[in-house]
Amino acid sequence: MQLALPEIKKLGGRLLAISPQLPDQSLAMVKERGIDFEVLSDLGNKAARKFGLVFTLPRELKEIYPKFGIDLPAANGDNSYELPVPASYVVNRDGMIILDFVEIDYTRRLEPARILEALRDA
Amino acid sequence: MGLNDAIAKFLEEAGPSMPNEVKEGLAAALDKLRADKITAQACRTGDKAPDFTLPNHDGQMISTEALRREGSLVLNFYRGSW
Repeated sequence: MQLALPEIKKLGGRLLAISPQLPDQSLAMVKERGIDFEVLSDLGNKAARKFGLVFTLPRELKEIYPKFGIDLPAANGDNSYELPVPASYVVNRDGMIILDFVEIDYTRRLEPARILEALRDA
Repeated sequence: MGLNDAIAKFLEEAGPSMPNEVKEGLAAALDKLRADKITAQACRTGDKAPDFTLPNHDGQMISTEALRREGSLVLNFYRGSW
């Protein structure tokens, strides 16, 4: 997504990345990776909930994550084990969704070309 | 090569480094989430996008209602940087 950022900007778009992580986690990411877009902290998944994206991590994954060194309660500041379903949207100036990509499989992503196409049509 | 092809290729190459029981556990968990239809309530194309205001990494409040008046927004909900 970051690779498409110059094109997104050229088309007048703004990229917002939203996760339930505490702001200090995002700050580290912004600094380490030299990120040039808004990284928003959605504590308690308030915004994700409005989009109907929140789920509770199944027991199987709760057991697997620590093996990868992932500590969700520490990252998110609560013990809810709630996460957003990975999703991307393009929203036009009127606030209408003109492109959606909602995918449980976090290894799949919305193709940047489709985002640019939507922005051109917006 | 599209982004998803690139990711698939990377995962294929990284695959052997992940123990089989972990790989199977991840696949089973994805199947379970699909069966639970957790995306059934998700906003879709043609819906009005709910507006929200959230702090960025500097603690500055960012409002989608104000921002989108200047141009289209690309919203990327992700689980975390871990």
